[in-house]
Amino acid sequence: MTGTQAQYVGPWLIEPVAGGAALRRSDEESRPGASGPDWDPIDSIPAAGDARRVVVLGESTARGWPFESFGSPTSVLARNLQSAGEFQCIDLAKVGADGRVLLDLAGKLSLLHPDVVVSFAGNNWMMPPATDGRRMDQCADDGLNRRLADALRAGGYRGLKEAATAHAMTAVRAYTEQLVRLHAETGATVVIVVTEYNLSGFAPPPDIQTPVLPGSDLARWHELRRQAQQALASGNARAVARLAAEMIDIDGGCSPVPGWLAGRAAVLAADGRAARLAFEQSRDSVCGLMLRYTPRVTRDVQQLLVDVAAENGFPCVDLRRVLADPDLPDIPDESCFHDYCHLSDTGIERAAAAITDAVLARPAGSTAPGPGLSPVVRAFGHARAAAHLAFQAQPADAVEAHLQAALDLEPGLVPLLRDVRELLSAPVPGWTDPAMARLSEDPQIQPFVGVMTGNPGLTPELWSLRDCLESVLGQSETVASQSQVDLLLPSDPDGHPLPNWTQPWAHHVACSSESVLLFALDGPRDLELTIEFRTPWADPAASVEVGCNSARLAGPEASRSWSTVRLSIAAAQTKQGVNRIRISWPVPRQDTEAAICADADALETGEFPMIVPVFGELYDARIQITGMPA
Amino acid sequence: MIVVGISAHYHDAACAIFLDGRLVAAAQEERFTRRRYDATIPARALRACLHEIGAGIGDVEHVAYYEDPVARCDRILSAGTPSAMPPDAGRPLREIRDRLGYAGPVTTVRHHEAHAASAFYCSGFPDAAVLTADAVGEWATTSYGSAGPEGISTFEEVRFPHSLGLLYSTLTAYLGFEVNSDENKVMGLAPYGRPTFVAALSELIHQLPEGQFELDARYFDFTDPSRMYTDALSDVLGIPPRPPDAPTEGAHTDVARSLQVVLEDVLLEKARHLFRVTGNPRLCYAGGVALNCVANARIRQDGPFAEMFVQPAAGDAGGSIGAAALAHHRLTGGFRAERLVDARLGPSYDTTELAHALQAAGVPFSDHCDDQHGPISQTADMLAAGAVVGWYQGRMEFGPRALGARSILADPRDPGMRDRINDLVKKREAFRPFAPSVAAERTAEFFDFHGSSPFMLDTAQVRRPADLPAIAHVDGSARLQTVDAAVDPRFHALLTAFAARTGFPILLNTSFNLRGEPIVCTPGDALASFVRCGLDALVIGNLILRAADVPPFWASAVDQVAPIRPRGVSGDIYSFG
Ligand SMILES: [Fe+2]
Repeated sequence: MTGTQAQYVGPWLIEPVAGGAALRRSDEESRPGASGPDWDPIDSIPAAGDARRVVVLGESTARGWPFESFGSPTSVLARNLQSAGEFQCIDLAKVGADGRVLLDLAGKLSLLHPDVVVSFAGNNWMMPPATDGRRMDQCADDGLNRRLADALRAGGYRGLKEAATAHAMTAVRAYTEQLVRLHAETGATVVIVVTEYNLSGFAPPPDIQTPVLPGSDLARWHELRRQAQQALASGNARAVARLAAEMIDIDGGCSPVPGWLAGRAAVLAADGRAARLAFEQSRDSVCGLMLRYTPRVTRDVQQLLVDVAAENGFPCVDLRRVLADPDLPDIPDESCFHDYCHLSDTGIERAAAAITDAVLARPAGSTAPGPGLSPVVRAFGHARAAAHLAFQAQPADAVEAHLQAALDLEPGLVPLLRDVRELLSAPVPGWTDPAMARLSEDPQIQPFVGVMTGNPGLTPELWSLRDCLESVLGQSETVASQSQVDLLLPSDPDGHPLPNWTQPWAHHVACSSESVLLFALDGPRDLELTIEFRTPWADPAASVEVGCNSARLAGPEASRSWSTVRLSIAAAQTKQGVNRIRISWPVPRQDTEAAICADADALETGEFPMIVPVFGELYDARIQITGMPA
Repeated sequence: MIVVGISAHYHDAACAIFLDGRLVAAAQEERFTRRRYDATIPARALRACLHEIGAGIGDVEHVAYYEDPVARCDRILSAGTPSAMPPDAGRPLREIRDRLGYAGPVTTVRHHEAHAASAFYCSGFPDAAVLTADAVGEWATTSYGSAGPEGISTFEEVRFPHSLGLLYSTLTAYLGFEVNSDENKVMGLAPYGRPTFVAALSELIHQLPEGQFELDARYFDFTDPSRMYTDALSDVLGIPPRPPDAPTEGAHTDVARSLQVVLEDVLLEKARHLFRVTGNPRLCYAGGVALNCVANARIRQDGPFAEMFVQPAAGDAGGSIGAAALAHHRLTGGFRAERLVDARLGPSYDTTELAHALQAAGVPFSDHCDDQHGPISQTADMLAAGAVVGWYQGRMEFGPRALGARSILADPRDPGMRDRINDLVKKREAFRPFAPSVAAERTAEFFDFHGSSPFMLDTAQVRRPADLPAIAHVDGSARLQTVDAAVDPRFHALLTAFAARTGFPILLNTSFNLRGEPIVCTPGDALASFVRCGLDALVIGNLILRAADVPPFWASAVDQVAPIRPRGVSGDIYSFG
């Protein structure tokens, strides 16, 4: 130690005092990342004295997001330990903690004199570097962009994925080595928690299908996908598995789609083992590709954590077992999850009970999970889950189920949900709406109102949330139809984000086979739709399918140069509330070598690569109302 | 034939559209991304402009880029000057293909050619002498040439690092202001000072024969990203650099005044050189230095040219106009000698949805629907009663000045008005003057000025400065806009209605934006700025909204959901590419 230099852990200053180390929140605002809502808001923690000090470190899941203030894993653990003796539990988990933060924390743990360290981390190591909007060449790891460019040139997208995940694994190893060193130097017990993913309950978002593939391969892949969806619908699990395997052969394991289809088919066939393998493959497929995927643990990370625990004799709480579905124990119980990796109160109780057993060195199952949160808080959790899942492009039935669960538990949530519906339906600028004032007063909702009203357009996901709210609560009253609707109003101040990390675009670029454009009407109306589109890589003989809601409108020819079409939509094909224009794009025959070359060049110059193919582009898309209400 | 001009990747990106040889639309990207001086490829500006003229990207037949990216990268690499992004000569074409979605032919026009063309093709002159001066293009910083039916020809240029723009920016930095942005503040400071530093500043720049001049390398260091000058500058000036938050003192105003004198002297001499070589009585003048309207007035008054034209976006944004115009001329062999008189070249927006929003919020507002006169007489009443009004009408202006489409207007007779707007609205330095708009036909009654100044790029003496304290500068001058009834009948009608109440067809006119944000673009931007500014009233099309009727929660709501975005180009460091 340098003696006089202040030592910090997270936002807290470490104060050596009699009986150990105390923590005091530092008011030094200049230290980046130290403040904000990401950490436990506690101001000071006294020295442990005679109590055993248990330090929990991890990411948002360990913090208990979004239930931090109601019952975080650390607070539930403290409650469980109360009857077993004197324990002092410290929550060092941070929402959004990445590999660097975790490594820094692990390196400072000895300053806290812990008796037990609970490592509850694993979900953020595979996040792409520089997802905070910086350029690739501004990443802390110097030269990573060049190494990734080389890997992409040498091994294609699979090569990029392998290089990026291998790089991420070095951070996991460095972290676990710190824990081993801590154990060796201080004798502290290290409990390793292996995190888990909501394998069957979180669908891959529809805008990520495959990286760029050679044209004939991509066409074949999409045909196999069509067949697999059909086989899934008819319950033929074996056929789905076979078709999915063929798809994986083509996409090199870089698509979340085949594993997801095979996993669902295996669940229907009650084949838990096959379901786990397939879902894990789906989950892990996107890691290392520079796409906008949600945080997740991978099989490699889980295995490394298990191995480290076994090699060093650390107690291991494997959430794959702790959260297992009672009916199909190979996969986790969906009710334990709030979303993809964050836990519901049920999940938090089960995890904390298992961690309690590990801390107390009792046989697994000794501690019973508690009852969880009050119905009101739980209802609120469901409402938030609905918004969150909609935002993550989950299917409408999942969103509506959470909304319904929220209302069943607490009918008093109706005014709040109505306000959200009003805000999502409000004319631009939406921040003028009186619902804004009411929602902003609620500190739980306030962080989200900007997303709902700060931009001219809504994301498709927020349109979908509005639609779900309207189907649960009824139509919104504030809709007034405009004579002309721009279907491409950006939902981000910088434009339209793609599923990769490139800067948002001014026009719509479709990186998957279907684009859905949404608009609202105050009732059925005769409309004219104008789109200016191109399909830069499509076979000229192919066609673009355009539909409104469930009706097919037209199938204009694919066009490599920009083409404008005007289509009439009869009032009978429209409805009150949210309407959808669906555009199905033909499969592109993109030059894979050129795409890889361009992406490698982008990486090399510090920019983000495209990764995904371009199916079609819309420069303009507008609805003109031509008829009065039907 | 649609030809699009693009300026980007340096400062203040913009696009301009020529339809059959006529400039029909132009806009800066910053207005759409809401990042001031945004230099990214103007994809959103182009979509908006194409929509405004009822065209799509597929209708564009040619794109012209406003500089040679290879030559520019060459200069950045060999000069070792800082740049915001790694030099990448492929970026312009790549982004025109991907980001703009344009697949057709692309030509590049040299940077100073684009500046020269932007002035000439908007001038309406059949032929002219052309002068350009800025910080730096590819290598050139100043150029001399002539323009006419054969296009633009350059006969002489001054090359980097010898640059009037960089001289001005260096002193801007020395005086504690933001480079690439606050050069006009230094110009505004100048009339308060005395030219006591002229001799010292003359050490910095050496006049050479013909069109040439040289910056003295002892005083400049353009490779140092944190500042642009050496310690020798402090030695020669005898005062230290002003820290950005320090008060401006007498010596600072004296430096500003002296710099203005030195700049004007160099420009005048170079203008005379240009006239001697070309013999053409008409001057077209462009480049960032041409935004210095005080120097423009000096060239007009004391220079050798009979006529002079400066277009509204004389800086790099305007390079898009020149690139497109020159490309059109080269492609078709012809051009329209037609004077640009209206800078409202951006998109217009429907106000129906805003009216719906106000209704939904239960906020009272007056909607005059199709009644043109109602809002004008009400606005004139409010202005005459001392109100500060946000005035949002029709198509957005191109260039840095608000000219009656996205303006904040007020009574110029009120001696307290300057401080009031500075304190409440602009939150800017008290020394900066506000500009007047005047009904064109009555200009000479109030100003010593006889031409037209539709783009607020000229200055003139106010005849009775005491009558118009809010717009008269300390030296009795004003940077004026003349408003022609045939060009902007609505704004002209407002000036006339104000005159009917006060005797003065003149309004204080400043851009509709807060400090640090670009001028408002959409009705939503205008409403947000109105709420933030604390203006007394907002007139959007035919809707009038009063501050007293604004719900209290709007102020916090707007800051929550639409915070002012950080600027697009650093103001601490001069970036050369
Ligand atoms: Fe320039």
